[in-house]
Amino acid sequence: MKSLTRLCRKYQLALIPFLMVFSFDGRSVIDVDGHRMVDGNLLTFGSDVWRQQMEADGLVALYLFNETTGPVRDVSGFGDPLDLVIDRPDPAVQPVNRNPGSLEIRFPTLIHSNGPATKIIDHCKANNELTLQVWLSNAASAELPRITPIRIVTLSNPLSTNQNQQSSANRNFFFGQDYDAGTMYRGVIRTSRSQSGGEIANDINITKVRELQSVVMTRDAQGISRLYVSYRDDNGRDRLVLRRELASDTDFHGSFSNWDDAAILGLGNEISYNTGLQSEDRAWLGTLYAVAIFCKALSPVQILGGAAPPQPALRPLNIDPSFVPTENHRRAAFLFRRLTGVTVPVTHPLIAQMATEIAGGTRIGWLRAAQIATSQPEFYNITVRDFAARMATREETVNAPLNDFVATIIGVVRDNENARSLLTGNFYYAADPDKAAVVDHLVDDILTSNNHYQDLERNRFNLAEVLVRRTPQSIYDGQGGVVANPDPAGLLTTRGWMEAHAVAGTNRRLVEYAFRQFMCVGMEHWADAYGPDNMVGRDIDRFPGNEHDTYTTSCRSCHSVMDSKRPAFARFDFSHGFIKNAFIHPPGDAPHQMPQNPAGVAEKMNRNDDVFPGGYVISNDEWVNHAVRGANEAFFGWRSERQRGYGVREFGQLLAGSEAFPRCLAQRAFRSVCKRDVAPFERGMINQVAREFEENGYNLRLLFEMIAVTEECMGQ
Amino acid sequence: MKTEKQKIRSLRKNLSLIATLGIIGAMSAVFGHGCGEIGKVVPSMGLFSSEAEEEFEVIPGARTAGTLYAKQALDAMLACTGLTAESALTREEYQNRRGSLSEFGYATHVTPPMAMALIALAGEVCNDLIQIESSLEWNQRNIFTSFNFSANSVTDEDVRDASARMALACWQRSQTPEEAQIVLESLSTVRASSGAEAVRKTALSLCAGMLASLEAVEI
Repeated sequence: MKSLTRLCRKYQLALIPFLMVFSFDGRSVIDVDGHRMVDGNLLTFGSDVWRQQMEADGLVALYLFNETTGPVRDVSGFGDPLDLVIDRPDPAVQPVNRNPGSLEIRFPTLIHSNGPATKIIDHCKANNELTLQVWLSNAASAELPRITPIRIVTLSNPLSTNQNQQSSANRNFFFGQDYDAGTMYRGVIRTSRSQSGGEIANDINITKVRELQSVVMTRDAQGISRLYVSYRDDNGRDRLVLRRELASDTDFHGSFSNWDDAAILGLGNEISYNTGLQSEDRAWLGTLYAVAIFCKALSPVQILGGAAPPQPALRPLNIDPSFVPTENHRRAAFLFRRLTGVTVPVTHPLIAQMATEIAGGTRIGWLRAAQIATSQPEFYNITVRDFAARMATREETVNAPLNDFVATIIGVVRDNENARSLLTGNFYYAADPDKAAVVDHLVDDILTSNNHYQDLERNRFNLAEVLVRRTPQSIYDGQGGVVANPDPAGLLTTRGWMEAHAVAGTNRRLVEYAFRQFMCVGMEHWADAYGPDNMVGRDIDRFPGNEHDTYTTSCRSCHSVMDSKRPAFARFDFSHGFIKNAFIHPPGDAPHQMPQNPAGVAEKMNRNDDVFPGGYVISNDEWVNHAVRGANEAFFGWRSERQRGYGVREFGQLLAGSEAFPRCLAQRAFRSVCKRDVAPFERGMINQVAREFEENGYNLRLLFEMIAVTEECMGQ
Repeated sequence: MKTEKQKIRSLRKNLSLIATLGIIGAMSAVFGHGCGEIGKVVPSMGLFSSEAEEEFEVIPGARTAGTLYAKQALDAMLACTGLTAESALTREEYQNRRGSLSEFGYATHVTPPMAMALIALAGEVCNDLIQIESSLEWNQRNIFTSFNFSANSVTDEDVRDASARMALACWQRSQTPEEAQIVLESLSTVRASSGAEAVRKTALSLCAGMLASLEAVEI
C-alpha cells in the first residue's frame, strides 16, 4: 500500500511539470521549465536565442530542480555554476523529496551554496539591480507561533557567532513568507540607504497554500521596487499581476555597495539555522519548481508583456511656437477640454480638425467636432467614468471606486449601445486579461469582491481599450459555484449597485436610488400623499406617536409609491460580500444561504411584521407602479401600457421606457460637461436634447456631444 | 553637503511656496468675493447630491468656470505635456495628495491645500517629462527643444521658447510678452545657480510653475 501511495505520488508530481507548461501564458519571466516568452515567441530553455535573451536580461543563477540526486545544479550557463547542496540535519530523516522538475522540502533544512555566492553579489553590486523569480507551492501558511518572515530564498551570512550577528540580521536580500492577520509574501533588499533593507510585501489573501504560484521581486537602479504574485484564472492559467510598487520608500533607494561579499545563497531556511537560536529558525516547507536570479531589474513590460500597466513615454504634440490660434481654435480647444477633461496644445492636429468643422458655423459641424473629442480615450477614462461614478454609490461622488457598475456604463457608451439596456440588459463589462494584467477570477475577484476593478484603477489602465462585454450576469452560489442570474437587469443587478443599496435594510433603498439616479428625482419629489397604501409594509407604523394623521399626511406619501415597487427586488439580498437570490441560495443564515420569509422572498422584505400586522405581506416579486397620479404622471411620462410587473428586469423596463429616463441622462451629461446643474430656464433645451437622444437610439456618446455643443454649455 | 535629490526637493519646496502664494493671489483677484456670483443653480432640476448645495447664479450665454478635480488633475497634466503615463513616484505623489484636490471642480473650491497639491503634482509630472526629454534628441521633444541638459546654463531665448510651448500646450493659447517676461524673471534665481543640474532645475521650475498655474488648472 505504501509503495502504491509512493508510486501514485511520484507520478502525480511528475505530471505537474507537464501540466504547468500548458498553464504558462507567457506572462512571466520564465516558466517552471525555464522557458522564456518574449513578444509572443517561446524561447526554449538552453537554446541559443534563449541564452542571448537571458544574458541581456542579466540572468546569473537558475535552478530548475531536474536532478533527483546530488547537488542542485545552477543551469543558468552564466559564469561558474553556483550549485547548491542539501543539508541533512537529522541523518535519520530525509528532509526533501526530489522529482524531475521539483524539490519538496518536507522537514526543516537548508539548501545552500558552498561558500559565498560571488557571481550574484558582484554582478548585482555592479548593476544595483535585482530580479528574483520563484515558482513554488507553500505547504502551509506562516501563521504564528512561527518567527517570521520565514525564508524561501536568502542571500545572507552570519557576521560572527555573536547572537546579534546571526545571518538573519545580515542579509543582502531575502524573500519569504510572513503573517499579519493573513499570510503574505515579503521581500527585503539591503541598500546603502538601509542596512536592514527596504521591505515589500503583498496584501493578505493573495498568498496560496498547496497551490502553484509564481512570485517575482524586482528593484531597479532608481530605487523602485515591485512585487508580482500570480493568481490562477478560470481557465487554470497562472497569470502574474503587479501587486505592490514602491517608488518613494527611501529604504529602497541607493546602491548595493554595502552588500556582504561573503553572503551565501540559501533556499528554505536562514543560513545560520543550525545554531540552535530560535531567531534563526526560519524554515519554510513546500515545493520549489524554479528559482531564477537576475542582476537587472526586469520592467513591467518585460514581465507582463502587452498587459503591463501604461508606462511613461512621450507622445509628440507637434507644438509650433509661431502658431497664432484663431477664435475657432480656441473654441475647439475649449470643446475638447470640456468633453475629455484634459488639455492638448492648441496646435494639435485634433484641434485643427475640430476648428475646421466648427468654422462652418453649423450644428452638424459642431457635432462632428465634438465627435473627434469623444473618440479620445480620456473621454471614457475621465468624463464618462466620473459621470458613472456619481451614480454608483450612496455618496454620489466622483471618488467612488471603479466597479462593475461604472465599467458597464463606460462600455455601453464606448460601444454605442442603447442606453436603455443599462437597466434591462444581461451583461456587464470587465477587463480583457490579455490586455490588462489584473486579477480576473470570476468568483474571487468579480462576484465576491471588487479586486478586478480595483486593480484596473490602481494600475490606471486605459478603460476605453481594455474593457470587454461579458455575458451573462452571474451570481455566486456560496459554495464555489456560479449560476446565471435568473433576473438580470443591467446596472440594477450589478454587484456594485447591490453592494451600495441592498445591504441590510428592507430593499426600499434600491427603489429610492433607482429613481434618484436614473430619473433624477428624490423621494420627496415623487411622494404622493393620496396614493393607495394597500402595499405599504407591516413594518410601517400606521399610528406613529399614536397619531394616525402623521401617517396619512407624512409616512404614506413616500411609502405608497415606494413600497408598491419594492417587491421588484423581493428575491435579492446582499451579504457576505456577494449578491444573494432566493432562487439560488437556500433558506438559512449560513454564508451560502439567504434568510427568507416566506420561501422565495428575502426575509428583510417582511421584517418587523408586528408593527402593523395588517400591512402588506410580500410573497413574490410582483410590483405595481403607484406613481401615476397628478404631477407624477406628467413628470415621469410613463409609456408602458402595463404599470405592474414581476422582478427587477421589468422594473428596469418601466424606468427605461419613461420620458424621465432620457431627460435625466441629459441632465447628468450636462452636469458632467458643463460643470453645473441645469437652470430652470434651460429646461426646454434639456427636453429637446432628450428627444433627440431617444430618436437616435439612446446613444449616450451622441448625448454628450449634443449637450457639449449647446449654447448653454459653450456660452455665446 | 546636499545630495541632488535633496537639492531638488528643496527647490520644489520653494517653488511650492511661491506658486501657492501666486495662485491664491490670482484666485482672490479674479474670483474673490465674486465666487458665489459667477453661476447660481436653483435646484429645481438639480441633481440630488451634496453638489446641489453649491448654488451658482447662472448667467445666460456665459460659460461656467471650472477647475481640474480629483484624478482629472493628474490626467490633464500628463496630456498637455505629452506624457502617456506617470512614473511610479508621480503616482504615489498623486495618491498622497488626492485628498486635497477639489472633488467637484467648482472654481470656488480652490483652497490653499489644493494649490499646494497641484504644485507638488506638477513638480512630479515635470520631473517625469524632463527625465524623458533629456534623453531624446531636440526634434523628438515637446517642450524643451532648445535646452541642452548637458550644459551649465540656458539662454533667455531657450526659456522663452520653452515657456511659449508650455503656454500653447497647457494654456491652449499663446503667452503674452508680459507673461513671458514674468516667467523669465521668476527663474532668475534658479538660473543664477551653477552646476550640472542648473539646466534641469530651470526646466523643472518653468514647467511646474506654468503647469500648476490658474490658466492650466481652469477647465
